[in-house]
Amino acid sequence: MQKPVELVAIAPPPPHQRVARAARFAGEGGRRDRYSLPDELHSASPIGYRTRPSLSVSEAAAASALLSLAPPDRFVAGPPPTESELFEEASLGVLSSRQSTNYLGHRQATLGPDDSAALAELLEQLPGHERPVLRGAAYTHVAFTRPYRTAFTFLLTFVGHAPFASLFTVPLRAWNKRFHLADDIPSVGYLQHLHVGIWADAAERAALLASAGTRRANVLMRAFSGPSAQAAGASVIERIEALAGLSATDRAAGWRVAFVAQVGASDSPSPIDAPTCRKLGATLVALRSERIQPGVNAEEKAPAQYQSRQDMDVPDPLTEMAGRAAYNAFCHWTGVDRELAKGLLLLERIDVLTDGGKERLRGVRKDLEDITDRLVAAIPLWADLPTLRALSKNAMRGKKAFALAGQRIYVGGLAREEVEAAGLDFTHAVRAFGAAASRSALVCELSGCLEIAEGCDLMAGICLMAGPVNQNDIGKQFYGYADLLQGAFPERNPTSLLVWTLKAKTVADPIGNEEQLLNDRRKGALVDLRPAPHEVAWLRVEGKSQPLRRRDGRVNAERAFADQDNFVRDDEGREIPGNRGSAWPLAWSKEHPWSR
Amino acid sequence: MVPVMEFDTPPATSMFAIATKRGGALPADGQIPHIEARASRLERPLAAYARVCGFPATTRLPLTFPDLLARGLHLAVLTHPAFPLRLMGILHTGQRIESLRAIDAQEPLSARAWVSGPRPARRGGEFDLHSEVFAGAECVWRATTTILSRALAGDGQKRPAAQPTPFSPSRSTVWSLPADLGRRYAEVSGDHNPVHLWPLTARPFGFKRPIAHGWWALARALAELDADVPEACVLTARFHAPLPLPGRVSFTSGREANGALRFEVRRKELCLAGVISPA
Repeated sequence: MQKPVELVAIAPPPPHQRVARAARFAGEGGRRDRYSLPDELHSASPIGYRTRPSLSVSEAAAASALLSLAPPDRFVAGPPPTESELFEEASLGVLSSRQSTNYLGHRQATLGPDDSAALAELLEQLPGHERPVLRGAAYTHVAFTRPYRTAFTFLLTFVGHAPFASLFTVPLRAWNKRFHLADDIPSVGYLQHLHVGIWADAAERAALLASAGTRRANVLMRAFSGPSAQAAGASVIERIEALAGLSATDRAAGWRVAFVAQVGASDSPSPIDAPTCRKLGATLVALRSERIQPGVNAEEKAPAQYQSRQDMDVPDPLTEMAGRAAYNAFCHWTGVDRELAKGLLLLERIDVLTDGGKERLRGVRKDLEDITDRLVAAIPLWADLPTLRALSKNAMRGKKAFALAGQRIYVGGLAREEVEAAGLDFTHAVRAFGAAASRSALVCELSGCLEIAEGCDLMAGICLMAGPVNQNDIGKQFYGYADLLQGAFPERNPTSLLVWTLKAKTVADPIGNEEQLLNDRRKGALVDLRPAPHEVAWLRVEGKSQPLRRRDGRVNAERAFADQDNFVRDDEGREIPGNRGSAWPLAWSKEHPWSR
Repeated sequence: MVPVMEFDTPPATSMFAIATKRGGALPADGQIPHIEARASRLERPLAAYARVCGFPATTRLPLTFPDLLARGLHLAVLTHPAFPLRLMGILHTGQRIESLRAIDAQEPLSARAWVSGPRPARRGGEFDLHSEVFAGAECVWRATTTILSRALAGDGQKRPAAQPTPFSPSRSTVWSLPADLGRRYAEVSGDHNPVHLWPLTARPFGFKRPIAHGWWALARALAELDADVPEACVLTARFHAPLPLPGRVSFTSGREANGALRFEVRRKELCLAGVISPA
């Protein structure tokens, strides 16, 4: 069902245009900005400030296997996992699989072999799996998700109310959000499931890479997707939650099983050799959203390397492969055939280099800005004034966050009626759409690492965004705007879900964009991409939950795949203090958690 | 006559005895008399020590731990009437440890400690506190702790700092030092020097905030280095600046060209630097 996908080399620009970020430390007394290197990194996240390794043609060929992985059909006996392998698997999964916007809405409980066997029995009682439940898993991840709640959704509580009535309707909506898990607008509810799909897709790759090709993940998501599936298997799911240690308090806060990933040894040969697994692991943790297209949307104070256009483009074969990867993922997760998948996935391509594309982009931007202006004007003053207009100021920042720039811009979505007519649950299809979009983006990101030219950071990157869709949804729900995809699919009642922009370029985004994900003093705005292992993952051992990498007063300081040495440095080779991290004690990382 | 004190286990010395220890004049030869203490049995609060310093629980003693075992002997030596210096305000400035082999946590151990010096330093005088730990008759660990006493006259001469040897980092991390770290380490180690405890108790010694114990910083560095530290090795370390509490410091380590393992703890300035070589 899945077609092979190949990475596509991107021709570098002429030598004089081959620029890199080349960030420096601000120096003693110097003023730091988003273009200078951070003074230090104090984080328990396994990610850190990383650079993209350059992949050779043969490594790229191996990497392409990640884009059409077949699920395992059985597990065989194999060595038990070490704590270190579980850490690196989590690093590629729950700790980093999310893209440009995020929330602390994912958790993972990992069960040992005995609990995995009990879980497999429970899973067999659940209806609607997309693939068979396997026996003999070495361990099983139970993935949890909760409704999407961030500072952005707090702001949404105040949006779309009538004057005067807002005194009553705002508290009512806040009540419904808190106690009935209601969403302000539908697309915020979809965000939760898009993220789950992205994570589920990453979980398959994570198991393979972290085990150096020896293990595979059998991910079962459909039986947990959406209210009808949750209701159909309620009693079994409740037992699964108990086995994984989900408490009643967690359930009340909206935590639910998102999917289950059975992981075990495989007797089919690994498509990727062990050294390449290490390198690809380091590559995946280095991938970042790329928002800046040089010469297009850099701010005035940006250094020279962001100011000039580069003569390079996303080649058509790459967009073709990106599309193929998306269909692979959608088929893989929904089980529909390829032609149907092509029909169900609604994709509008905005080619900004054409006149029509430019006009369309201007139209989208104008609509989004108008919506922002309208919602700012309508924020209740009784809430905005006491907070010194924090609500309206935050809303205005959206204009910058939702700016669209790139050489290929895609708007993607689904039509609910068509999805349901094809026999699919819409929530599950939304998850599959998230997986499809992220796998498609991964094609571009990995191709952007293929034979990176000397003196360059990358050859291409992407930015996968829901912001423009959410903003458009506010317009749809409260101000009568049409869906972003309505013009391209006028007869199909589309629901747009994500926007992604492809950029061929050689300079990575300013490190300040990453810093807000890693520096705890700058967290808490709209994003929190980099949780520590102990914050979101735990191991179930003898019926108890042990936070991953929190032990005897210590928490993780190790960076995943650090042996690949792809850490950010300045042009004199100096590293950011704390960025390289420090390995977890060897005695602990070599342990087999379920064979102590 | 050389005072040698024999104990079954290292004695407990009260904070009062330390605080009221009075200084006197050095003997005519300008040297501290040889004062020695011995203990035939050492006790081990290992789990609490490992936790406060960040060592994983193991069956081997951390490299810095024997010092804690011998700490009672150190205090017995330093509070001996023949020891001529007051103890309040002394600073740990340097350390040498020689581990002759790994020590199993269950091995019966004995120890001896003695003092020598002083020699002039810029702002006072430095003396050495020596320790040896034995498994049966075999010496398995020895250390020399260098201590600065401002009660002695300094020579005012600035000594050229050793040029840092370049190394490529293999570990780099940031430690948060909580405000109660000194008190927690004091509980485990028995070193209740007021300079480590509270802002008010540190102030009389010239510090606005309490400072971390030098032994804690060294132990934390070794815990970070983990398996990089060979079982039989020689460690030399120098404390360049105190670590105020609470605070944040960066730790970096890596190999020098000759294979020695180098580590540094920095705030903005270098606070602690050390080198570990195979024995």
